[in-house]
Amino acid sequence: MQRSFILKIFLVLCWLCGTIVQSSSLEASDNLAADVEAMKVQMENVQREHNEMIRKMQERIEILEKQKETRISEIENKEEFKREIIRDKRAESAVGTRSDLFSKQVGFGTVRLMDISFDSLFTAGGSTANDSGIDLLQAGAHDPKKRGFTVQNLEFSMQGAIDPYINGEAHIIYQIDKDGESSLEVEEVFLTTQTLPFDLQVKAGTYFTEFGRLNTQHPHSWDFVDQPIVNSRMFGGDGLRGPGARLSWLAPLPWYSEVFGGVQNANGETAFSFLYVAGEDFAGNTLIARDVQSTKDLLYSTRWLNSVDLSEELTLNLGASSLWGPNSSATETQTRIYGTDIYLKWKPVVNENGSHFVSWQTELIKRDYEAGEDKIKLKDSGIYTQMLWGFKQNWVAGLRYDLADGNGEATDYLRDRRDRVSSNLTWYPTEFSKIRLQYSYDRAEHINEDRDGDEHSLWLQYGFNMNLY
Amino acid sequence: MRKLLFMVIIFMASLFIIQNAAAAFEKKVEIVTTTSDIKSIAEMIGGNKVEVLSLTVGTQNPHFIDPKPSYMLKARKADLFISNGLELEVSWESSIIEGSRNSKIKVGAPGYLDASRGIQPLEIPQMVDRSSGDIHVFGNPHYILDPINAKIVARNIAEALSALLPQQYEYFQQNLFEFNKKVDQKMSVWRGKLMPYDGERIITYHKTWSYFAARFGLKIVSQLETKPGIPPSANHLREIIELIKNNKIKVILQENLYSDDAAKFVAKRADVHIVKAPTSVGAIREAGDYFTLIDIIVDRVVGGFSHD
Repeated sequence: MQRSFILKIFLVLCWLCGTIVQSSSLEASDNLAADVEAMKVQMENVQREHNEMIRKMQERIEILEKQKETRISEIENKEEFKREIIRDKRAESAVGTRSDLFSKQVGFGTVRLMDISFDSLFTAGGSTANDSGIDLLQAGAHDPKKRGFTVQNLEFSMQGAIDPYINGEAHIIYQIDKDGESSLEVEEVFLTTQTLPFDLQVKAGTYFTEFGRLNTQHPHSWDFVDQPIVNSRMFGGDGLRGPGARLSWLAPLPWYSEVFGGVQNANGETAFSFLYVAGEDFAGNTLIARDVQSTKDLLYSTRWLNSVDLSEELTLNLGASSLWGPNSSATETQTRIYGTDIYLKWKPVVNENGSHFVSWQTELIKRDYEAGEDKIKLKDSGIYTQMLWGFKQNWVAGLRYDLADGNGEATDYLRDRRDRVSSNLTWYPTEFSKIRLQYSYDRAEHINEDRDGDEHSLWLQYGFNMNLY
Repeated sequence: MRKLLFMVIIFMASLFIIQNAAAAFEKKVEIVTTTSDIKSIAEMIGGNKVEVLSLTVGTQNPHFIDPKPSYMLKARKADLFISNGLELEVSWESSIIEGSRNSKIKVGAPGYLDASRGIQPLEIPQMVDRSSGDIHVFGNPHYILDPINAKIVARNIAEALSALLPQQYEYFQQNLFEFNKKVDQKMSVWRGKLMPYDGERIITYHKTWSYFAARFGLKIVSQLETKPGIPPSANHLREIIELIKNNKIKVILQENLYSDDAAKFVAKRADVHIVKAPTSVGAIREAGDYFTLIDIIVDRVVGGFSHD
């Protein structure tokens, strides 16, 4: 009985062991299966990766082969081309040197240090006004100044990149005035920054103040023989310019909108409405020598220029400008000048040589000038409006109306009421030369009271421009 | 106060999310080209990875363009500025690039491409002076009308795009391959059509056709223009009439950009057929892309010869 019990226990134990062993072996086989599964997965992964790599390599090889093909065909084409070039050269015997004075092809690049140009402008003609009368009618320093011939402007311009950050520009003019006196003048020398962030740009040096459209233009790019009356009255014969600096910002707007703010010296011969030369006469006041005491005695300028393409063929520019600074009429006196300008140009997109166009340009300028110790307000204003019509290749016809007036009983030739109509016809034999015939009808009572101030002038202008392109 | 702070935080967070979402959309490379021909090629190479805008349309004479302020605005946003080069746009290109204040597209930067790089220019003047008219110092700039040059331009564009978008290198290479293949296929068609007229002498108005003629075996004898950029004079046209009569020239190839008055004057006095053809993409409505442009030119030239 006891033995059988022990046997039973033994058997139970054996069964238990067996089960345990069995179960453990089962467990082992389970583990093995899992391992096999994992390895299979791993292998598949490796295989997939491998395939992927092979596929990629094959693609790469294909691309490279294609490239090789195109390179070869290009080389073949080049060879073919070379043969043609040689044929061409033999035919034309024009073997290129590919270089000129200031730009030189070096390897695959071009060294371009400076663009140099030379512009010249002359007029011949006459007026019903005598020479001293012409001097009053044509107050611009580059206007025709006498009966017969006038050398208007000889200008030498240079511009180019100074380094990656700055561009430089210089305009030196040589002038022979109406009395035959020669003079050399630095008209503009300035730098402009090229890489400032936030669409900012600094201009520094000595330069034409950015006021309106015409003040910054050099005589060779004028559309008429002479400058508008209002410009001569507000900015003097040479235009408003001087040493200084200005900041401009291209506003992030959907149209072109640029804002300028600048400060320049207010003194000198080219600051007519401001600290102009002591001893000179301005509207009956003798100008005094006035020192620059503080930053208040500098000339400040602002301008806002907008440009919108109304259509592919029609562009509208609108601008507003202002100036304020001291004037040398007395120790505390100030001048303010305001202006607006509009420019509208129509140029068809279907055109021959870009020659057909119609443009309309108008500037309105007002000035408040405090004169003398009593600060008498001299208010002046003037407008010019002009229309140009490019009616044929290389031909442009122009019409301009000028009007200027001052307040009070102005009798000064630079302040009284005056108007003028000018029409002209310009032929550009090429873009580098021009011949222009202009007729002007003036009404300037103070000049010739016998004829009610009516004066007729006829000028023939010829100019050329030598540059690299 | 707390509410305000909370609002600000929410606002900032939403801004951040929007910004990231916008970045998640692939930004396209914005390309500005000076001409419509380069635009057409850039579109084929850049595919859906680029947005191309041409400053001029095909009907304009690329020599004489006013650098409008709106062009500067367009160039301001550009990642890549492609010019035709060889001084075609010399009088207006630099003022646009400088005016754009975009340092990415300055000459020499990776975002500036002179498409003529690697082109073998024709008619390089030996000596430049203005008495010869409007001469281009580096050679004739109208190279794009030779389809083999279009391949070089396409390669230049693919390279420039790959430099800006290296992860799309293979995409651009693929497009370049397709472009080149199409040029090769088309070349055999074009050559086939023009084969019968190999060596034929023609007169053109401006020197626009030099590369096209050189490629397809036409011989340009003279231009109606007295000198490049200088309108025809009566004396010069009389010489041309003599030339046509003496050489039995059959065709005047006239760019549709220029007035055909001179061509008509000559055609009235000599037995010659005027072929008017577009010289750039978009110059006529049918010339929608580079390949159709060359198709039209080839067909019109063939039409001119087979006229009588």
